[in-house]
Amino acid sequence: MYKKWFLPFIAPAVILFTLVVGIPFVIGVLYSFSAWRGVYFKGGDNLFEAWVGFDNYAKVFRNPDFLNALGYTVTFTIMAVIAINVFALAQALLVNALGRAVGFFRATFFLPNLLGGLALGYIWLFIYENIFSTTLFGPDGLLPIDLLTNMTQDHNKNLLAMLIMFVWQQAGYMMIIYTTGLANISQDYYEAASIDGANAVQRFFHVTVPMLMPSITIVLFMTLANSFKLLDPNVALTNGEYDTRMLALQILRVPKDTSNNYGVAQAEAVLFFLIVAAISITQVIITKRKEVEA
Amino acid sequence: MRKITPVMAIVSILGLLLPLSACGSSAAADNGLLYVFNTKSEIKDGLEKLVNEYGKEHGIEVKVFSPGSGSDTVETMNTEMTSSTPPAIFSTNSLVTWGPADGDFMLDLNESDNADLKALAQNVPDELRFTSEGDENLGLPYTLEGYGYLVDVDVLKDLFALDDDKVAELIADLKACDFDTFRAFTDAVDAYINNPQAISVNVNGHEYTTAPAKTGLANDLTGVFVESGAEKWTYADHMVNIPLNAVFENYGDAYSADLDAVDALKKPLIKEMEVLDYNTSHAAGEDGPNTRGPSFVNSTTGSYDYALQLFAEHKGLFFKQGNWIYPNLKAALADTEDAGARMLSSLEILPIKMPFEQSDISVKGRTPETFNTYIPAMVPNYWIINKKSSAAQQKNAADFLVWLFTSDRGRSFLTDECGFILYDELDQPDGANSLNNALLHYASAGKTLSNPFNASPGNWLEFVGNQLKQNYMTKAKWDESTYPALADTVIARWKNLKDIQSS
Repeated sequence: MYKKWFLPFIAPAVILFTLVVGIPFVIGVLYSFSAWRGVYFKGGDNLFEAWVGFDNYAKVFRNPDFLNALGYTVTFTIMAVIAINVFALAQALLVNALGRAVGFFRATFFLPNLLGGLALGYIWLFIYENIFSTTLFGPDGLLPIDLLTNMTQDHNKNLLAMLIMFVWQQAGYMMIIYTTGLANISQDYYEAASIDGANAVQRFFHVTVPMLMPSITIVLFMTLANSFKLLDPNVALTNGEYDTRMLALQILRVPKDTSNNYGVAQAEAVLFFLIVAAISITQVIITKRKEVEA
Repeated sequence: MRKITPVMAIVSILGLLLPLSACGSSAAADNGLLYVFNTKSEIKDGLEKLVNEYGKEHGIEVKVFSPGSGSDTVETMNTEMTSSTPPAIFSTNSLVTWGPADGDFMLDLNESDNADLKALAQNVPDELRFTSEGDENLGLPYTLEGYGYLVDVDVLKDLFALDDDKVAELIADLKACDFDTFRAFTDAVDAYINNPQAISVNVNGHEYTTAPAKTGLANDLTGVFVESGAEKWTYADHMVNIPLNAVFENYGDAYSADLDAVDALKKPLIKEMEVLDYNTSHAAGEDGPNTRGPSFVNSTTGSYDYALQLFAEHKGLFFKQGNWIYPNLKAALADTEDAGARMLSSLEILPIKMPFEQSDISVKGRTPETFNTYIPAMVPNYWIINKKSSAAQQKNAADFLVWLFTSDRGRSFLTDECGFILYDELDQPDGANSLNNALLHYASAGKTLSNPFNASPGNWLEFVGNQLKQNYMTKAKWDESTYPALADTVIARWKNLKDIQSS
């Protein structure tokens, strides 16, 4: 019976996945080897007549934009992964230690995650441009801090602008994973550690952190992949001005940059896929290994 | 009850999915369709009304697309062009994406079956023809646009205490003078704004002296130029077009030039930066000078609308813009009655003076004097028939264009409603639109530069704009020693984008 129903049950998912993801993906990879202009093929009537081999890939690397965006994305990702983990864990520990009103705080921290998209980015842009740059941290503001003003008009400051927004949005979600992880740690370990004379810091680093490793791995790679694919805040805050394009936005803008050279855009997308796939596969391998150990 | 077998389940799932794959393959019959894809947002409502009327009158189904103001049409255009019923008429002034070498979508009007259309196309003057090379004729011009320093003549009168005749003489002198004279003139105006007293300045051999104290509109002045720092196109597209004119004679020249031709842009570009520095450091603001810095590029106080409002309120004497602002300026002045009408009716356009030397200019026949006495003029859009639409659609499109350019209703739409200058009316500079008149005076005297900037590859203009916005417009002081490196960056980008576009 179990065997017999296997096919019908997975068929819808497999068929849909093939139609919506599989086939377009293969076509997309093929397009990246052709002089595709989105509407027509340059120099031929079909894909194969307009075949250019690795030409599009060579162009990607001859144009500084892609590598700049890659560098910017990697910098942002490193900062985001560290910041989100620290904040999420801190929130989880706080909520865990509270005892009462846990549900309220959990919901509050989680709330930003339910909002999203471009609209949120524009709200933050307003906050940065008008509240941060004048009222709060401007020269005549409550607490003049130059670093926090006009953040969306500077290559480096914008990293901070995106970071604040992204951490605010993501930390709550990651906190939920951590609170679940914390709840699974038996109190026995803490008791035993206390009896052995371990203080709070020692308990944290020698009991909590090792026991949380599975959650940390999950959060680490989720934030890694999410930061790498970040698009909306990037569009809303600077739209790539001041050399602040991240990879997703860079790929999105190639057709406009190059008068519809979709072939090059597709080549960048394939490279992007390879990078994200490498991260995800590493994640799966590491997570599997941890599971065996646990 | 009947038992459902796995095979039946699969079949029913496939049945459910079938409609998914069916869409997109049905081609609608388009025999009676006229589909116009317009990219000029300003004429959106009027065109829609006109085409609908035309459709009712001639019993054909119509469809009109126009973008919202400032929105990007590239993606929509791509989608529409690949649909089963692509637009029969579309508009652009660039060959870069849809031209003969890039997909070949434009019908050569010389080869149209419609004799009337052919005749209309052959009437387009040579310098306005849409062509890559050879004698093809790819579209009918929307209008003629030109730009330079728009002058608030009313303010000029109060500044120098001049009557109508005298101010006309000053305008003529300013149109003819060289760069250094113009600089001395703007320096004098700037000094006067800060410290009103009688200052004499010699323009083209005539002496002009400012009024001893500020009177009338001169009181409103806060700067010499009105600038919009958030609008990259004002200092990228239009400004950079001037040095480009020193390298390329016209659109076609820039479009088909060798990769290395753009190297000659370096010297003129450096000179342009000097001018840009001067203009943006003498900018007019709401209550005082508008100084460069974060607020200069702020999307509110640096916007085009805001700048237009400043110009309408006489905060600045010059505004680097074109004849296209007339309808907006008119709207901005609507509630000022007489004063507004006076300003509107007396507007003038001056050439954007450049400190070029002969050695900076590589186009034969152009001299520093050319740049100081000519203004750029171009056709911003052409009505183009899409070769890839159906024969029936192309026929409707040809009929419509003939009607548009020959019927009373069509022509009154173009001239009165849209404020367009028609290509067969270039010799009639006496309409109600002062800016069109000013432009036509240059055009009829042959004193026009071209629009090579429209032939720039990919997002080059945006790149130039970003460079200027990031590294210059936000800085109070500019370092002249950085100009050569900027020029090199910008030139390298041109070549890089040409490379990406090839094959």
